[in-house]
Amino acid sequence: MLKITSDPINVEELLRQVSAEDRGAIVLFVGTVRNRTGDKKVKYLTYEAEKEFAENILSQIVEKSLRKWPGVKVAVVHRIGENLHPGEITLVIATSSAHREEAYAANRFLLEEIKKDLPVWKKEVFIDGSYHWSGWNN
Amino acid sequence: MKKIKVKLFGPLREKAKSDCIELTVSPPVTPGKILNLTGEVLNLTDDEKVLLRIASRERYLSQDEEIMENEIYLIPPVGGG
Repeated sequence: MLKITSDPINVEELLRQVSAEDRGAIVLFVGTVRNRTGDKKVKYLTYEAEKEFAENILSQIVEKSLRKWPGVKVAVVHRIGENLHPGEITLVIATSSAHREEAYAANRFLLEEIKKDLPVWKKEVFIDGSYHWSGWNN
Repeated sequence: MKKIKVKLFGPLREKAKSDCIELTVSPPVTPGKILNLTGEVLNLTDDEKVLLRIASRERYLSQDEEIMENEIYLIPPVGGG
């Protein structure tokens, strides 16, 4: 399962996707909206993306991870949309393997690649009414 | 001359007040030309331009490759996760 969605993420569904009797380890990364950036309180986030384009790039990121760790099962869902409030889940990466090392390594790799390349743009709107696009000088 | 549709996202979409712009570019069309022309249209600073990448619908394009597509994506810093 690789998906960019505006719907809430069902973590258990991702767990099921990577579960199997030959899996001795499942690693789950759950990214959530933080309530503070620096000294500013976050009111909500907006994640913007073009779904099909982002899913194309996500597939390439996952393929790259599978070339490094061929035995790992992967499921990734990234949430997009407006008004994502502190505490809400925005990203889930589930990886599983026979032994824990591969599942941990692949999960970390996927997270860093997603942060570097997945075409999703984050707008943080603060309690004081100001806002900021992540990585942009505004 | 080739017409190229440039799709905009996040801060670029806000700055342009539109989700795309159309450029007329002399061949060969390269990411460098697209970045320069877009920079002029959107009044981007050099500091902003160095943050941008170009992609097709399927993948990121390297700086020196010729763009064959009629529609490309201008990618400001991503913020997923």
